[in-house]
Amino acid sequence: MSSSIVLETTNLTKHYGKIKAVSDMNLSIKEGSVFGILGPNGSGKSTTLGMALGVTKPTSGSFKWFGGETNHHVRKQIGAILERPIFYPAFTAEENLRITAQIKQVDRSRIDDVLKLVGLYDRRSSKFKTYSLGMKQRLAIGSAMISDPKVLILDEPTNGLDPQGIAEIRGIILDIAKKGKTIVLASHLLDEVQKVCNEFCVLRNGKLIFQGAVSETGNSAQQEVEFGTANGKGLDFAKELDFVEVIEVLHSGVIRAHLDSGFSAEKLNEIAHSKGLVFNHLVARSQTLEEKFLEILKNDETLKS
Amino acid sequence: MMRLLRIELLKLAPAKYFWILMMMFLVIMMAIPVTTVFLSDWIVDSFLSEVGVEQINVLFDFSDIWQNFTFVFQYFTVLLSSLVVINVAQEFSLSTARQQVIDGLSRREFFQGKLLFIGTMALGVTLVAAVLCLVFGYMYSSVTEMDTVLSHIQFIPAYFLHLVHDFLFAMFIALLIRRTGIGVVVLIFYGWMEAIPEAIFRYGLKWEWVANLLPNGATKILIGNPFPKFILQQTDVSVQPIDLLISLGYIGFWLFMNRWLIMKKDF
Repeated sequence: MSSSIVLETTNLTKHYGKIKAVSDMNLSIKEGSVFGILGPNGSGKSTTLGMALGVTKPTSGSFKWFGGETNHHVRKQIGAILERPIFYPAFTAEENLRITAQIKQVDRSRIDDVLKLVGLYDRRSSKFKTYSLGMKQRLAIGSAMISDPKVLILDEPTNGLDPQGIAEIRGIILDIAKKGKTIVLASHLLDEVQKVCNEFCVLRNGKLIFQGAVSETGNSAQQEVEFGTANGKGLDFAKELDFVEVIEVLHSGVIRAHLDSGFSAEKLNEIAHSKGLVFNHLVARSQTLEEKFLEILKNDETLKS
Repeated sequence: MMRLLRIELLKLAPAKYFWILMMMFLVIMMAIPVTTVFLSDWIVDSFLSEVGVEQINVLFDFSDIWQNFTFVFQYFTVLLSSLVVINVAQEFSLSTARQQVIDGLSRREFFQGKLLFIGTMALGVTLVAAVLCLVFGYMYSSVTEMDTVLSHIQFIPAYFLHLVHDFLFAMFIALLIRRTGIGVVVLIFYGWMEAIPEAIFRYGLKWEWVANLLPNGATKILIGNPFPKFILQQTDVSVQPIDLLISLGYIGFWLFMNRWLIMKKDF
């Protein structure tokens, strides 16, 4: 996997009057990654992507595609859907894709290819407005794939879909990712980012507050454990050990604690055993992305105050 | 350039509103000379044959026919201007302009595509007008000598400029409002509203030149009303250079405004 940069933004900023939609955004997305942009609604995900895609004029700052290009030709090598699938409602899928193919200057034969890719070939002559939301979303992905782009940008691709539709879209995204394409996935759904992405960043109020690998969240520096002893001496035991940071005491004397890096639940068990203490409850919890996300948001809040 | 025109054609070919409005306009265009023939025949048959008049086809006479018909055609341009409003405003109300920029069309290309569409449509309609004038002229005109036929053909390019101006103005309204329904209403309403200051300037204050400066009037003056001639024996029988200048000025102004709206505003 090459490590060249697909998209790099430098102090990208967009203000709508007094509202700071995006402030000093410095993002960098590596080639071949499946990159999640995570953030609550209104955190600036779509605005950031809109600027990088030429539809929103930045107030200040800059961005570079593939290490330098900023003009519109570069966008022909990018497949992108922002916010929702956009097509002429009264035109058929085929008629719509003919326009896209002409804009991206690709051969018409690609239309059938992408329609088959997203499973809409049989419905190619139906008007777009007769499509279900899931089909519209699939057509949008197909349209984005028409130039066989290096990068695919998807903004909330599963928004408003039923579970089956969500599974279908995720399947398509993962298939495309397997082909080595870079995928940028903006979402407010943590679970989605965790299932699909290998890298992610977190936006909040138009600011980038975290960027890192999804796998890091699984074995982060601190590990969280829950343990309990039959005799209720767990708390005293925990306080004696300086690598244990007690977070809270749960029901029936179960203790939730953080372990410093280098220490595991196994180690804790070993020490307890050597001191004649027997655990009747021991759970090593790898931090989920959701907890990581909440923690990031919490840290950000404390930074502010 | 061919690519941009092709993109515009792909957007028009399956569009119902385009065919409906275009057909309506073409039918009206052809109905005007046909109705005139029937009407003048009827007048001759019922009133004038007794006094020995066989024909009153003065309206079709070369070279007046160019001015007569382009003057009447102008009153139906609003159908095509509405088409332009729908075409351009729809790109924004549906966000398709936004998606096309994301797909790799530059704003400049989007602008050029729309200009090509407007220019091609204006050219096509002008050609139809010219052919209609020629055909009906040769059928009913009392003179068909080449010199006379071509002497006032300047009203055909004037008609083209009128169409280009009105389409650019329609595009301006569409870019400003970005909604098809309201856009068309504003276009038509503006056409009516301009009559008020125009009447005040022209008939109230007698400032004819100010009245001629209003955008809607600015291109209509290119083709002066030919009909008073039949009663008063006087009218402009050619395109006045000053009117041409005003029209070209307006065309330049709308081009500038439209380009500015496309390049500056968020899509």
